Formats: sequence, structure tokens, C-alpha cells
Amino acid sequence: MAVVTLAACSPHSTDAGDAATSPTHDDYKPRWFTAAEWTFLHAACDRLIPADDIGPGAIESGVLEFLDRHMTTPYAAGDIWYLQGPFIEAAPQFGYQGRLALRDMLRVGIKAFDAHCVQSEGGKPFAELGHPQQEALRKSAESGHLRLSDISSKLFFDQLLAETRSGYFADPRHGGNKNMGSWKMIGYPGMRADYIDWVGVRDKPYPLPPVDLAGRRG
Amino acid sequence: MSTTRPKVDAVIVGMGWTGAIMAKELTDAGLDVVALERGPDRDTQPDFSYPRVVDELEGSVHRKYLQSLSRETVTIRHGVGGTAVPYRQMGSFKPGTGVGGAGNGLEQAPAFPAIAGNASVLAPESSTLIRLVLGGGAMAGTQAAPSRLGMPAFAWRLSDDDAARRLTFIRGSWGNRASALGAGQVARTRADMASTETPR
Repeated sequence: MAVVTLAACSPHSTDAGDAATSPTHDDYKPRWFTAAEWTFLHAACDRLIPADDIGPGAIESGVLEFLDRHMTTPYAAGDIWYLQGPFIEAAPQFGYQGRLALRDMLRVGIKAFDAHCVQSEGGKPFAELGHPQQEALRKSAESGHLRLSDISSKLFFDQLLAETRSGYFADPRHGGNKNMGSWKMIGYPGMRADYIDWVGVRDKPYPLPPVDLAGRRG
Repeated sequence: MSTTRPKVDAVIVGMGWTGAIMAKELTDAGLDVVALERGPDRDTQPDFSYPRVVDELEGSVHRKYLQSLSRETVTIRHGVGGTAVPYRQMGSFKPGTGVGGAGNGLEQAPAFPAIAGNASVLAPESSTLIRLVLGGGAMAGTQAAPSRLGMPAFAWRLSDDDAARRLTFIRGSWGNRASALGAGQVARTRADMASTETPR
């Protein structure tokens, strides 16, 4: 089979405004999260997706900027969730049955997590602990064994991980995935529209770098 | 106040896959068709224009193209004895998760015990396992999980050979290494169950 031409069309941005070059994470000032929450998230997201020789970490990818911007969307305010009563405890197969919208899950969870750390880890919040302590707490929350006030540690962990992943992998227009670092890591070509020449190819990687919604090449 | 629209030959409520195919068939046959869809007005351009339409955060996470559950949802329970609860988030209720051999053989606590390494599944004396498949079973309901999750009886549906093949599969999958079951073993258990059944 001849694989000669690639219809590597560069998509046009439909909204150039919000896809303008965004500042690096160092310049970004949070609008939703408080300073204490910001400090927690910096440490927590760095544990969830640390930088290594395989790919960039959450922090350098701008996940924090994504989180802060995402919290002000209707989605994070619970716009597409049913959040009215009745509130009844049910098996996990019925999904989350509580009252909190996403942004409240994170706010309540961060406060409870740091409160737990201060109480049980010698007066220090999560961000001031060493990596081994942070990892132990992370695992305890992931399994749901960690007892937090006001929220299930597993619910909080699952939501924070999902949000971190979204920031890491979503299009850069949402604030994370700086320079399409995660896409380059996994070989995802982004918004290229036409792969017809590659449908039958099994023995070689797709050769072109990713393209984002704004039409930039990674 | 009601609005009276011109009469048509067919009205399709919900323009999904089935509705769209029906609309094409009916209009091809010369009928006058109206399709009703709820939600805001949307059109190919600009709502579904490339590349914005493939933004996965908006599509798969924000569910931009689906109706919001905050406006309308359903309630769900697993059995007539259970308490129905609201369906709050898209995808939160997964009917297939952990059901029998459809999953990964691992425990789906607290609803379904693991098949992998399960003592009842692996027991050399397999009549308990065969009875479960032929006669069905249900877990106890608790205050936290009132629905008595269970599986129906398959005696009417599966022949001795069908049941033996399925049980042999789960006894040899997900790391299980128990012996195969034969149709004869199923037939004997079926006969035992019939002879001990309480007449009603």
C-alpha cells in the first residue's frame, strides 16, 4: 500500500480569542482557589502526575491553571448533574448520591485533607510533608481508608484525579496540556482531521506532531 | 396556549439513530414527516463545525451535546424491594459492571463477589455452583445497600451442556484453574433439585 500523501490539514480556530498564547503556570494567578488550596493542589497534582523521563508532570503542564479555570465553568457548578433530593445512601452502582457539585467536592475535600494532615502529621498541611508521607496519604485516600470529615476520601481522590487527568490531556485552550506535552508523550495527533491514508497501516507510527484546536503544531 | 401546526403523515419523537432511519424511510416512501427533538436549537453550522466539535472536554466530560440531568432525570432501583434513587450523573449507573462473566472476574464490592479465586466457583464438589446457575440466587439486603442484588434462575434457559460449558469457562478463566464440568454433572444436580423441590 502506498502511503504517500497525508492530508495534514491544519484546522482553523473558531474562536481565536480564548486560544491566545497563555502564560506559563508560574505567571498564572488563581481566581477560584484560595492561596491555601492552591498550595495543596500544587503538591497533590505533582504526586498524581509527577514529571519523569517518560513525559511532563502535571505542574509544568499547567494542570493547576486548568483546574482554576475549570472550577468557574457551569459544569463544575453542577450544571449537568441532578443535585436535588431525595438524598439516600445507596450502593456504589447507583453513582454519587450526595449534594456536592464538583467545585464543592474539591473545596470541601482540600480543607478536610489538610485538616487531617495538620492533626495527624505534626501540625503540617499536605504540601509541607515529605514525598513518602504524601504517597502514604495518597494511597490511603485512593483506597478510601482515609477518614476525612465531611467527605469520602475516595470520592475526593477520584474527582481530583479525574480533573488532573482532564487538565493534563485536554486541549491547551482549557489551560493545561502546555505545548501539547501529554499528546506528544502518547503519540496522539490532536485535531488532525483526515487519517484515511493510515487506516490500514499497522507497522509504523503516525509521523506528524499534534495540532491543537487553535491550529498550533506541537 | 396551544399552537396548532399543519397536519403531517408521521411525527417522530426523538431524532436518534432509529428516528433518523425511520425518517429517511418514510420520506423516501413519499410521506410528510416531522421529527421532534428537545433542547436548544442546533445546526450543522456552527454547532458541529470542525475542529471545535471534537474537543473531548466539552464533548465527553461536559456532555455538551446531551440533555442536562439537572432539568430532567430518572430514578433507578435494582429490584421491587429496593428504594429508587435519582440518576445524578451521566454514566454513573453502569448496568454491565461486574455482572457475571462480562467483567474482569474481580470483585465489584459490595454487589458482586469475585469470580477469580472464588471458593464456590473452584470447589471440586461443584453442585453448589451448578445449583446457583440453575436456580438463581440473591444477596442479603442491608440498610446501606437495600437492593437484594442477585441473578435469575437459568434452568429453563440453559441445557445441561450449555450450563456445563459456561461453568467450565468461569472455572478456567481470570486465573482460575479448576477442572472442567460435564453435562452429566449438571443433569444430576438438576434431577436432585427437581426431587427436593417443595411443591406449591
